[in-house]
Amino acid sequence: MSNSDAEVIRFDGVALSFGDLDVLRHLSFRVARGETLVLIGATAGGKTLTLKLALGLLKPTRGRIHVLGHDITDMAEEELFPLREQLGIVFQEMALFDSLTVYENVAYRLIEETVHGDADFADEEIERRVRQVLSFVDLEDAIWKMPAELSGGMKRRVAIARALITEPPVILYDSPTAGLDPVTSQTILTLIARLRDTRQTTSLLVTHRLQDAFILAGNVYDEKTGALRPAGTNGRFAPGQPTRRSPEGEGGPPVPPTRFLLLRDGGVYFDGPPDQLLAAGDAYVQRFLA
Amino acid sequence: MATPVTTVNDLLKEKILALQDFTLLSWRALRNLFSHPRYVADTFAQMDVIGVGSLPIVVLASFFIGAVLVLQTADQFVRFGSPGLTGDVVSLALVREIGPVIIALLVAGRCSSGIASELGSMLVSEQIDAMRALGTDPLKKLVIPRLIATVLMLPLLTVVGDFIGLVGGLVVSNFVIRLNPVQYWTRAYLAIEFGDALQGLAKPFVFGFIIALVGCYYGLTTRGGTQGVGRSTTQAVVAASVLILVTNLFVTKILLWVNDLMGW
Repeated sequence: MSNSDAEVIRFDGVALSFGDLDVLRHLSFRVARGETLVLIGATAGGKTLTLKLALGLLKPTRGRIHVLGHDITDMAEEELFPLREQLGIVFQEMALFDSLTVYENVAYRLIEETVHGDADFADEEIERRVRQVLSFVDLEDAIWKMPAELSGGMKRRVAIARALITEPPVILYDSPTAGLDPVTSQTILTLIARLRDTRQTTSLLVTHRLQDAFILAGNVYDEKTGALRPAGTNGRFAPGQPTRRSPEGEGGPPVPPTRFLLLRDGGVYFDGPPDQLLAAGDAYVQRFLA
Repeated sequence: MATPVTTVNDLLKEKILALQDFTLLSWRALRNLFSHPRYVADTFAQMDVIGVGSLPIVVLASFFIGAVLVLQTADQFVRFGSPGLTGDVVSLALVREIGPVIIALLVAGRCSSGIASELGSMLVSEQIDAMRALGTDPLKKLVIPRLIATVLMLPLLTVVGDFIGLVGGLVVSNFVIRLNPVQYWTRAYLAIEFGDALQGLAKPFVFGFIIALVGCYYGLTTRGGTQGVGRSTTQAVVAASVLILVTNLFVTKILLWVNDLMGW
C-alpha cells in the first residue's frame, strides 16, 4: 500500500482567518487509515473548524488539505459532494434535522442518493437499513420519534446512526461526549470503539474530555460482552492505572492505533501517541493533563 | 480608531458586499433552476405552504381592498352622474396595480419572513452544514424549491385575489350605491384588456423571485444565534417589501412600453 493510500487526511500548513482573527496559523498533520486521531486544545482553538475544513465546509486561507487522496483545497462544492459520501460526521450540537423524524434523519443519505439517481433504494430497503443501524446504536424504539422528543444522549446516538448509514470509512466526531452524563458517555465511547474495532473506521475525534480519549486509547471493544475491555500493554501504552491493564498482559488485544494532537495558538503543539503525551514533562501539556 | 469616514466606508462596503452576495445567490439559483437533482416533493410541499397557506389571508385582504376601493371611488362617480364607471375603475386598479402589489406585500410579509426564519434557524443550529456534509446542496434542496413554488403560486394567488377583490367591490357597490350587480360585473369584466391582464400576471411573476430570493438570502446569511434569526426575519420582510415597491415602478414602465409597442 502506498503512502497516499494509507493516508486518509493530510493538512499541510493550513491557516484559517476570519477578518483580523487568525484561528489557525500553521496546522499540519496526517491521519492514517484505521487510526484514531484525538484532537485536543483550549476552547475556541479551532478544533471544530479543523473538522469543517476536513469536510470542505470551510476553505483554508492558506495551506493544502488532502482527503482520501484528493486535494480538496480548491475543489468546488459540487465536486466535494461525492467525496463527502465517504466521510461521516457527528456534530457537537448533533445538527439533527428537527422537522424530520428519527427515521428520516437516519435515512437522509439513502433518500438523497435516490433523489440524485446514484442509487434506487426501495422504501422497504431504506427502512431495513435504518432499523439495522438504529439497532447498532440501540435506539430502534425511537425510529418514529421527532428529535425534540429525545434526550441528549439519544440525539447523539441518532447523529452517529445518521453518519453510519452508508458505512463511511472515515468518521469525524466533534465532542461526542460533551454535556452527557458518565453512563451515556460510556455508551457513546463504546459505540465509537465498536466502530473502530469491528469496521476499522478511521476517526478524527475532537474532545474536551481527555479521560474519554484515554479510555478509547486504552480499551478495545469486546464483541462477546458488548463492552470495552483493556487493551494489552505491548510495552507501548498503559493508561497509568494498574487495575485497567489487560488481564492478558502483554498478550492481550492489540493497542488501538491512537494519536493525540494538541493544538495551541493555531498550530500543533504536540503530536504523538498517548504514552508520549503522558510522559511529556512540558508545562503546557501537564496543565492540560491536570 | 473609528472616524466618521471609516464608519461610512465600512457601511458602504458591507452594503455592496451584501448586494454582491445577493446577486451571486440569485445567479446561482437561476442557473440551477432546472438542474439535477430536482426536489419535486420539496417543491410541492413549499407550494402548499406558500400558495395554499397564503390563500386565506389573500382572500380576506382582497375582499376588503375591493370593497374599500368602491367606497372611495363611487362617491366621485355618483357626483358626476356615472356610478356605472365604478366597476371599470375598481377592476383596472385591482388587476393592474393594487392586486399584484398588495398581494405580493402580503405574501412577502408571510413567506419572506417564514423562509428567512426557517433557513436562519437551520443555519444557526448547523443543519445547513449537516446537509452539506451529508452531500446535499442547500441551494438545490432549500432555495430552488422555495423559488419555484413562490414564482408559480404568486400569480395564481393574484388571480384569486383580483377576483375576490372584484366580488368585494360588487357587494359594497350593491349595498352602498345601489349599483346593479350585473352592470358592475359587466363593466368590470369589459374594462380589462389583454395588456392589463399581462401587467397583472407579469408583476407577480417578478415579485415571486424577489420574495423567495430575499427570504433565502437573509436566512442563509444569518449571524448571531436566535437574535440573529429575528433580525434576519425582520430585514427580509423590509427588504422584500421595499424591493417590490421599487421594482413595481420599473416593471410598470417596461410593461406600459411593451403594451404601447404591441398595441395591446
